[in-house]
Amino acid sequence: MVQRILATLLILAGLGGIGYGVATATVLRESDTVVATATPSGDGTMVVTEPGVLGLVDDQVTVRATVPEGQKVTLALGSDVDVLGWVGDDPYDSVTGLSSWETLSVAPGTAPATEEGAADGEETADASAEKPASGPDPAGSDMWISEVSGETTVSLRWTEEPGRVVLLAAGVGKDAEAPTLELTWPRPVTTPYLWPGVLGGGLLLIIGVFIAIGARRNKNRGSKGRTPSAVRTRQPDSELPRRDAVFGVDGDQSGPSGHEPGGGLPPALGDPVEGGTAVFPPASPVLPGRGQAARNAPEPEPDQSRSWGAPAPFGGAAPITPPPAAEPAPGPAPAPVAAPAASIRGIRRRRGQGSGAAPADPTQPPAQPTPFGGAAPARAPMAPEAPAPAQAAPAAPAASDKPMTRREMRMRDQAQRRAATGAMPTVPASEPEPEPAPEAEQPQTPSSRAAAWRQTWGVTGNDGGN
Amino acid sequence: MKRSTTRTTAVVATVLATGLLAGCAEELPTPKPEAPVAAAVVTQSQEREILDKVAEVVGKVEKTKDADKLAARLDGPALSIRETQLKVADARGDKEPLTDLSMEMQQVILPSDQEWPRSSFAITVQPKDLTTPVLMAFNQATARDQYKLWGWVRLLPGVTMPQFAEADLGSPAVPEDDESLKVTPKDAIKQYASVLTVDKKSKYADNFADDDLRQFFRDYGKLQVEAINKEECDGSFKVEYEPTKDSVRAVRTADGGALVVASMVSQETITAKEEGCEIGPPTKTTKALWGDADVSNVVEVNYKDMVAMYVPPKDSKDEISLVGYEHVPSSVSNG
Repeated sequence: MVQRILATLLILAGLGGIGYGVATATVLRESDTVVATATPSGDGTMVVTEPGVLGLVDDQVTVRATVPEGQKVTLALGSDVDVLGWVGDDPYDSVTGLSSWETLSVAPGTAPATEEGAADGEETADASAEKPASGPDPAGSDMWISEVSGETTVSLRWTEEPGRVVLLAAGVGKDAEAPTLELTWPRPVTTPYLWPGVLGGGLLLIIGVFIAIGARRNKNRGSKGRTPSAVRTRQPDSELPRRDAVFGVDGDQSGPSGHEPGGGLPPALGDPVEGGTAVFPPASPVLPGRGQAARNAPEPEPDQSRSWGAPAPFGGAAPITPPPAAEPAPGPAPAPVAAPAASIRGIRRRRGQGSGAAPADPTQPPAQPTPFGGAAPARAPMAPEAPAPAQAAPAAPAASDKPMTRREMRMRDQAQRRAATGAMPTVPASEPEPEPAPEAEQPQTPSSRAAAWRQTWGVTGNDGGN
Repeated sequence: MKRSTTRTTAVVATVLATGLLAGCAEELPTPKPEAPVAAAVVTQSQEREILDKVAEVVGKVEKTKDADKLAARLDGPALSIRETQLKVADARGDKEPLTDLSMEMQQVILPSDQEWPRSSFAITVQPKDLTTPVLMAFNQATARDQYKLWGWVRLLPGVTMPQFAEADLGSPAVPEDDESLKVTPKDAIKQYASVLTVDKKSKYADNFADDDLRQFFRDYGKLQVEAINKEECDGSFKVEYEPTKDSVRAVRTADGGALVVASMVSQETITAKEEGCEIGPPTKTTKALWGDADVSNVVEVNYKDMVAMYVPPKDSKDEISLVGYEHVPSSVSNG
């Protein structure tokens, strides 16, 4: 349950992260340009930018000035000294900077050193300041670096250069009004959250999906294999049918895939009552004499734990894990024999085969029908004793067909050499069958992989158990 | 499990919060103007455009003889002198009286003062007719005026111009009453007028180095007097200079002195004894100006003049020296 919630959260967070990352590069992406407008306050016919305003956002600026339809407007660029000198005592608006990303702040320009004069003849000054009979035209002055004149709307591009260049925009002619200015700068837009968002989100998503899968598996196993916790039982009730169906399909389809469920899903065995059992039988037919016999023989519980890679936790019999898979190998041979061999081999590996008491072998095999899970620990103690090593010999052959052939062979040879002839009979029996081994191997791989995965992500079987 | 969930939630929240904040919190830039630097208020490229515009007007008027158009780009003494030259040239029927004002410059002296009026100066390359280079003075009276040619002089042959600051830095103007000079610009021009008028008899003669203009009048006067005396008419020659009201223009030189350009008017008077002696205009130009007026024993020629001189700094032992002049006859009368 909690896993599912976590998985859901992770997936959602992952999707959210990806979505946000993409959004910052698309929908939320900031505009490539900054467009800011200055609306004149009404006094005068001229608007002047302060030094530095033109290069506020970028060195390249496009200026657009608009006056009422049909009137003339002039834009001129010059040094601040020249421009203010040209404006002189006439009232003007000063663009002092950005008040927001869309608006330029405008303040009434301060006429240089006219304040004292204004105090003297304030009325006359105001009278002349408020409405110049006609807006003077700055066009054509020698001082301008660049200028443009036109009707209604004119625009001018400027690439900032060293110096204090300012803009003079003037409405020209009778009843002129100060133009509305629009400054447009290009802006380098970065999308710093695109890749972090997508990658991080993707990672979360993947983790979430894995956890979801893991949760589903656990649940399957848990629901079938155990009854204890209320939480678990409740869930399985609703979900079981579906899962069973899934497994049924797997089992029916092919040998290898059938094995996986077989190895990984002992629940069928543990819970004969449930539909799972029905599914399993078909799987077993695929591999007739082998695994099935071995599996069926032992009690369900231990088997299950082993199949989930639990052997390691249990009694430190980790090496034993492979054996279960190996068991099938001895297919032709009687199931009982194969089983012991596997378990013994594990022991031998651990203990080394210092004592080569082969003779005991013959007797042992039969005794080992319960090599799995719980049996293993029991055997460990036995290993040191003579009989156990003896068993190793027979075991070797059986195991040898699997991955560790050479060593097995060597061991077997040694065992043979040392061992009394009595041991021999068993050995030949296991040796003959070559084929089954490879097949047996396959089923194991998935389960061990799964175990590794679970360990990696910390989703051990314990979870289910707890 | 719970722990990891919490952690995940926290991480997600942090990422989102950072993103959202970053989206909103970009600061508004504030204007960061460059500090004002000491530099010429007219750049060289601007000066070039100004020169082209002035030259265009001068050139156009020279062709169309429409002197009224000169006012667009000529001012003060330059306008007056050019109009005179055009009139004389028209009277003479040739272009010799016209000073070559093609504006290919070998040096420009740009203003560094931010106030108006602003003055700039420029020295042309050697004209094609192998006359000496011309020093021009331009003036921008107010910010809403254009730069106009205010005056010019032909440099004296072989003269050495004082050094000026780098054109890009600009040279400060020198007010006409500047005290840091040996003589204020305004006084300098008054004194020089005196020197030109009475030559060595002037009390200011010691302030001025002898120069080509003074020598010219000596030679010219002597020539005229001798010519009249050949007829035993008892000739005499007199030149009177006086500064015009139009103020001087001065610019600081590298050594702390000043280059002063000023306009003057002058009158030369040639007389013979009254009985039996009649004299006419002495030169081709004055003849052209004379027209069909009756001759008498007196010839008065009025001139419009521009002089440019170097005034050294106060503590200098150098004398004030002329660097160039323009001397344009404007009218002739029989007294």
